[in-house]
Amino acid sequence: MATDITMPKLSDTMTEGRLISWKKGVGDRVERGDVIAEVETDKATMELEAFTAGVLIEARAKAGEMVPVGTVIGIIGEAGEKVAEVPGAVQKEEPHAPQPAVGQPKEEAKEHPAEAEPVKEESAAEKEEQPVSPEPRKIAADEQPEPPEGKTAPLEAHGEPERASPLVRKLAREHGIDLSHVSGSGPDGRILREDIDKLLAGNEEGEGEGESHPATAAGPAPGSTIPLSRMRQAIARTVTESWRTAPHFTITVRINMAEAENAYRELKESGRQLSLNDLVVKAAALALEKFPLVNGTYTDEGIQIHADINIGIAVSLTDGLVVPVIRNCQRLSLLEIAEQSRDLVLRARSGKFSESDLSGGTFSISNLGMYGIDEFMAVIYPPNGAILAVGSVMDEAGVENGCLVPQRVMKVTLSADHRLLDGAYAAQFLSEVRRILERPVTMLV
Amino acid sequence: MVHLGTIAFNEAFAIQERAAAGIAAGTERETLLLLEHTPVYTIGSGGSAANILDPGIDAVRTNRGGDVTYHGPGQLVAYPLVDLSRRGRDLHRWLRLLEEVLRRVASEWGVACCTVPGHTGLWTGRGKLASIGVGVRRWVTMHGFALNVALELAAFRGINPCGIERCPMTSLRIEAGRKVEMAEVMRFAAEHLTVGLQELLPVTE
Repeated sequence: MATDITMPKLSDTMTEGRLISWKKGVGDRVERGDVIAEVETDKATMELEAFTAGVLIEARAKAGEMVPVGTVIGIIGEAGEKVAEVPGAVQKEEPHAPQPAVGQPKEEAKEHPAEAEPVKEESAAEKEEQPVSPEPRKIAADEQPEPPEGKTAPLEAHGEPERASPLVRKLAREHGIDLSHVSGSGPDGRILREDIDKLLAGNEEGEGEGESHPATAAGPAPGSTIPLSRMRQAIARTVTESWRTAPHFTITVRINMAEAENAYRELKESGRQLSLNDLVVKAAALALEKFPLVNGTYTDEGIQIHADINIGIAVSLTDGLVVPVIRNCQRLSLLEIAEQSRDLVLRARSGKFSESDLSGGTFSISNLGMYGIDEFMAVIYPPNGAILAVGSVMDEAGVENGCLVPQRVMKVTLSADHRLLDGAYAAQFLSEVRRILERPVTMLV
Repeated sequence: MVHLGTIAFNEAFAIQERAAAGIAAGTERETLLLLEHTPVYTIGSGGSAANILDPGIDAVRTNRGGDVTYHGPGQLVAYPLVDLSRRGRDLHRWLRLLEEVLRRVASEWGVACCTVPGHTGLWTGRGKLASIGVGVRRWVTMHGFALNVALELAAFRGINPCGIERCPMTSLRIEAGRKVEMAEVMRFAAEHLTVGLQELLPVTE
């Protein structure tokens, strides 16, 4: 949905940079590769290019301002996101006389409003990119009413066979997608992998996101009874069993995410694909190694301590949710976890997952950060002994050394099965998760 | 390496833009443009036009760091167009390399210089010998440095160079106390840039 534009780190020794000017104004259409702003460090300036297409919906930093590296200076989103509601928007600056080569997409965007990208629910890929968006942006209601031609309008360049890389063509073949009907967001309408991902996510998600906003406009008519789908039946059975048999208790911890967000940003800037949630998965895996009971299963015969750490991730679908499993997390690096997670979520959303993707989990994580949730409690997914519920990273006032300081805070809540876990042990596990996320360097080695 | 002779700023800028685009696209090789400008004041993207006090000479705003400076005949302007994406992607290291190259060039005439943290450029006891201002587009460097060889320093009085009020300026000729040939400065600049690049910012991929 929305992509943050951050102050780039242009040198190992750069800690802050000056935003010299915006080359795009709020509301302007931005294509991938367009110069959107110019930043300066020392006596060097850098033209900042957009990595994604969309509309500049927010300009947080003002021209001339010094901004720490990694700070969000603006946001590129979809055309449907309401500019007027964005606080602190900065008006476009008059470009200076010899303006560095910037295309003129503004007029085009005005002339062909229908070419604006169809506004969708968050797609799988984007959700992965931004699992914990700091401020919940409008979902559902605002973004639904899109005229039908909006969905099919951006069909230029038909029939050219080389509009996609072999990888993208392969992906399309696997999912039965006819590329001639796909609009590419890359240069010259080239079809990128993310276009396919979006399409797949869009297909699967339809207009509702069951778990998150059950009463969408296109939902069932009031007064009717919805027949239970197989998935609904399975979910009902599972949570009932869990709630009835596992005495839940929950504990919550507040985590300062400043360092983790820095690490995440730097990895992103160096071109790695990962989400903040992958950092949480990796941190949990490391903590589970130290506290193996949390990775256990209660049985009447005894507590099974699993040798492998297989972490399930709750993925919401149109009519329910699935929990695909990242296996052997104890042996995976952060980036390997990120890769597997991306792959699993994509498969889950496209309905291409197999039974084995969903079985064998020993612990699970549910992240509702992308919906702006502060904190919540999740129901343990049997036969797991615990589940971690992850909220969004929020700006909060904190106290450090007796001073009131702004902090980036994420709250995570562990639901634990009291038959095998006690409060003190669960608390130690959770504080280990916090310790790792607050010093993420241990995850990166 | 290309010698452009004495050329107007905008004309040289067009050449830079074309070459930088080619280098970013991988169709052109890294290039060093050596030239002198016809008199012009230029302002960095973030510079203040208020630092130009003299309306008599053209002022051009351009995509480099730094504030106002003056270019004119007698000053060596070097525009190394280098692909930093292959050389570690570090702007500060690039600036430090340019300072080091300038220091080595000046030392060919026995002129000792220093750098001042926070005031990128090359300084002697008398003032500023060379200015640095860089713009980067797709990690290809544009602009570079301007070394005062034997130019009329009076023109600097029309501005607050680099945004510093009454910033003293000096030249290689003044520092060396003898005649300095532009062609020779160009030769040393090219040589030290080539060596400096290999030494300090080698191609990493």
